[in-house]
Amino acid sequence: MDLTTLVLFQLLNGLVWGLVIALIALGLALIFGIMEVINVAHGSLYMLGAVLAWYVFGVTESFAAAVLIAPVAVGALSMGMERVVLRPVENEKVLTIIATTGVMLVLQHSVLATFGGAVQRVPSPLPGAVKILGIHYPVYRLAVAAASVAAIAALWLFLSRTRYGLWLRAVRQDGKMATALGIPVGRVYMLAVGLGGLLAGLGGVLAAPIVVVQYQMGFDILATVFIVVVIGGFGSLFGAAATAVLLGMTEGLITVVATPTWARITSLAIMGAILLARPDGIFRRRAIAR
Amino acid sequence: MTAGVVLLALVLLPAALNRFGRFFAAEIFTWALYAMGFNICFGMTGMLSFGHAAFFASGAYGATFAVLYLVRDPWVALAAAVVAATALATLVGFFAVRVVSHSFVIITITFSLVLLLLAHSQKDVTGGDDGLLFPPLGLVAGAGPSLATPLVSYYVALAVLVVAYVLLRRLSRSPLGLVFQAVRDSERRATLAGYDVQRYRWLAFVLSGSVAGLAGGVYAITHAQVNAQLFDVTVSVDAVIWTLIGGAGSVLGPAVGAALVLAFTHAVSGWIVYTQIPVGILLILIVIFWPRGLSGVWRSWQAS
Amino acid sequence: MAGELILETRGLSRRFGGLLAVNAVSLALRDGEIRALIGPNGAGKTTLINLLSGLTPASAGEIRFRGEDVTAWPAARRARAGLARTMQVTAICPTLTVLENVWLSAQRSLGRPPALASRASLRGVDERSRECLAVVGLAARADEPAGSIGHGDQRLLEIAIALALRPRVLLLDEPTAGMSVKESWEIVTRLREIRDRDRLTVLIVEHDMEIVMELAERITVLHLGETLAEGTPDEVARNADVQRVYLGGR
Repeated sequence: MDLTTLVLFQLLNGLVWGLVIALIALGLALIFGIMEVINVAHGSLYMLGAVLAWYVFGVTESFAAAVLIAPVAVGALSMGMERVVLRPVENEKVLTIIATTGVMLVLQHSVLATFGGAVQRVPSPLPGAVKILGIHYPVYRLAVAAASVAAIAALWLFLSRTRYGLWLRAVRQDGKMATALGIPVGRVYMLAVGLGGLLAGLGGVLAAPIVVVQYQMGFDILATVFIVVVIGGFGSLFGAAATAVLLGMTEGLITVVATPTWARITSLAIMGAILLARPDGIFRRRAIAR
Repeated sequence: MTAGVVLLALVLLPAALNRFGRFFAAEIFTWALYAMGFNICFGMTGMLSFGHAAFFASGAYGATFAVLYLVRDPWVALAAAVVAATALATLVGFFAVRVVSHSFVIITITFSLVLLLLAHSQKDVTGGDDGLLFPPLGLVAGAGPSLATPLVSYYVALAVLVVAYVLLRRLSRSPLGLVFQAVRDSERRATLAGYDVQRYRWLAFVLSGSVAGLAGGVYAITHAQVNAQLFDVTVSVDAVIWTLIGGAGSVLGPAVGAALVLAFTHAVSGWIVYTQIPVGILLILIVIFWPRGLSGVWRSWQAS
Repeated sequence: MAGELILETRGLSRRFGGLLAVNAVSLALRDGEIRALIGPNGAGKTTLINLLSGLTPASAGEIRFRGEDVTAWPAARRARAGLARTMQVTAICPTLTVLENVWLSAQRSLGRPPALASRASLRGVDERSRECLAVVGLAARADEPAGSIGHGDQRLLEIAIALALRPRVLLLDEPTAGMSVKESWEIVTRLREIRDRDRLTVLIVEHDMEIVMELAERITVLHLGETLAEGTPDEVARNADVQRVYLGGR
């Protein structure tokens, strides 16, 4: 492979991966934007999506079934988590971080107990490659990109066109005002966490045939998603999605000259540097004006 | 008085323990020290770090490298552990204390994940998951009774723990400790009383990392082996869990929490393989049912 | 009776987006005077106090304290230099005891103590802290957690904390807010005693006009971020502009 082809190939890889990250990060940003909760279990939800996809595929031999079932199951589980674990402590933000840490432990080790510690693979549902921009590129990855874009578009439509979407945005703007207007804030929270879980689960299903399925895969993604959400501007959905794609492509580019691990480290370092260069604008708590 | 009795009991305890018991107790002392160090940051100063594994692991590796490449002396190794962890905490803290609450959690977890990735990728330096062997050493300048025996491990870990406890208790009642607690309670108040809050948060973070690194050093010299998994997020999370269970409001609380959880996991490991599941459930229950406890316990610093 | 200039601002301004909260305010406090800062809601009183104490950076202008330009100093440094303040919304450390809250600033004002010294060994700090508590009448509550005492007592505690810094200038942002009339007058009496004893300069934001007229030697009236009038209580009371916008005259 000559250099141009390699660069193109890695850029495409980065784009695809960035879009998957965007899905997961959108889920985290949604939950953060609406409830100011940092969901430490978010990586585990992604992992759960991939593991469930492996199971469903094993039983039904149908990847489509996995795409339909796994994210919904993860979303439903997340709604349960909101109701049972987060609801009692939602006013204490530090406690929610710790509570979701507990959820992460339970999820991760439950999967270890049932699924095992071994690495599993989900075969690509769309084998083969197509010629695009002069290179042969796996069809499935292109499908992943398309599916991610479609899911993001669907989320956008949901938020902008439906009543529940309107409620979500209202609570996000001003929780107290929303309560005063009669919006059922509790249900909105549950919906937000459910949607967030659904997106993480979908990310997991889509990633399953690309990466290896393993009970610790949630850890690897967690820092990336966290930092994407922070740089994107804590709860800004557009910011999170854009940052994710940029991060993915940066990492892809670095992979041309370095190992994937070094690419990950370098991209995290770059993101860290961006954070430090703009601590005030992006995430520094502002001095109270009056 | 009570303290004296407890200390005496701990000194005499090995007589009642078999080899495994002594080794396990040394292990508990090590993690108890780590949890107490973590709590300077969390309980005393109010910063929830999710990255303390990095300091523990850098201490463990610092000790190992010192012995492998410098001097075969366990005390030099411990000093190297503190130096390594302090240096890392100074660097990480420089950035991390610029932000608070959520962002602080994210920055610390990100730093520690970068280090985890590095540790796993640099197998020829860290040994990866297989790790590095820490050569068996004698207690005094590398000679004398070997650290590899559980009894010596027990007393070394206990001695370091006791010394650290006395110093930390002193810190908690000192003028500096008062400033840390004020920063935790009200950043505004501390500022208006003339303290540069960021600098004190940094100092607390570095002290906390140093103690965690010291614990890592004890781990290395008593385990005869260190590996890259010490950088794992679970090690960071353990500190949080132990501290919450034992109580963030006192010097000893986190140590007690570590002892309780480790003993519990050991006790149930016969019939529950996946002990992290009950620990996770316990964590959730604590947060839900004793949330006042969590902030309320901070009151009892003096009483500890 | 008042001495030389101790705290002075020139053209001090603060803009929040499109709002000029404080607009070119020039203020001069003389050593030992008690100055009241009054004005209708939104006049910029609290913003001005925030600018003086360093919690809010200035958009333009200059602040001089004891002859030095302190405009760029962070809040903590100003506090150390002797510019203390209380907050309108009480800022205390709720889990520390009443005494420890005062200790915090007392140990700072008496030089940097050895970091790991035992607190019991710092007798000077202890004495000064208890003395400051006695001044505001909280000596009996020294060992209670600060979060558990009443609102009025927390306001008093704030003043004790500020006094423990041995300030030269004390900025008080509505110290009597939420207090009974009796408590308010007690504070006024104490403030005057402290001033006489320690030769303190006091700038006080206060809504109760009776207290202002009784306590203040000079009054500065802010309106929409600008200085509307300044003078003795009598002069200000007679000022036509002040009567129009503030005292509710016809």
